[in-house]
Amino acid sequence: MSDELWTFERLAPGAKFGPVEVPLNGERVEGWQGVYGPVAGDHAPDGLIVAGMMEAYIRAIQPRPKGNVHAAQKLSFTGQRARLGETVTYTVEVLSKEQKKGRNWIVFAIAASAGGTPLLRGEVTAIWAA
Amino acid sequence: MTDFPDTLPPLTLTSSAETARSYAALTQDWNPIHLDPEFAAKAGFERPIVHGTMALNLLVEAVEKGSDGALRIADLDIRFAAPTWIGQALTAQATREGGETYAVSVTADDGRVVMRGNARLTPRNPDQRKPTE
Repeated sequence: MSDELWTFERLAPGAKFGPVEVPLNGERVEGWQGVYGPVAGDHAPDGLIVAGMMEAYIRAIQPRPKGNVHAAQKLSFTGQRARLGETVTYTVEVLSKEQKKGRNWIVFAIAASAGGTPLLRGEVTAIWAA
Repeated sequence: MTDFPDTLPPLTLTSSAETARSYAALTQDWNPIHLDPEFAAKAGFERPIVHGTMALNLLVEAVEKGSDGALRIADLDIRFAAPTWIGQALTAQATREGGETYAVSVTADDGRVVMRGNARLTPRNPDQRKPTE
């Protein structure tokens, strides 16, 4: 992995990152329950897949500037669910970027699947700090 | 046929330094703006701010719990409108606009709307399960 910072200039539309694997293990389930309360049943809450999306987004693009702002979010769930204990695979792609009023706006597309079954597609709109 | 209620029961979460650390560990988002008062102050915030997707996932949970698991989010489009300070309570709400579409928001306990947008809800099909491998 390169130590070169992923700046706005370097992040080109079409650039792909990952895959990043996020296991739905006991540590993550405990973390989820520490914020939102008990998980019922043996399927992952939809929000746990969203939390994994953020982890993948952060792990996939490193090193990154400090102070990026998460400005907006789109999500589309397929309705398929992952079971606790499975591993979710995420891919990240730069969809678009533009500079507006001195700020660096980037839209990232993130897809999640488990065992080849699509679970979620998200778009993170970020203001990139550098 | 699943009913789409006019509103879903609000769901509230009180943020704290402990929930911020739990959420940071969960997402590996250790951005000090969420955790370090000194860093947050240098960035122009009076206190560390709540992770944006902690509020977003409160909404996801509100749909799940408020419908007793009958409904889920199919599509969602939101923007984070304002920061929430660690220590504040957040409340997620969903109000039907028509059909399957809901106006969704998360409000901080000082009355500011910190996240707003819309979502399309859909019945959760109990048979729609990823098969065990």
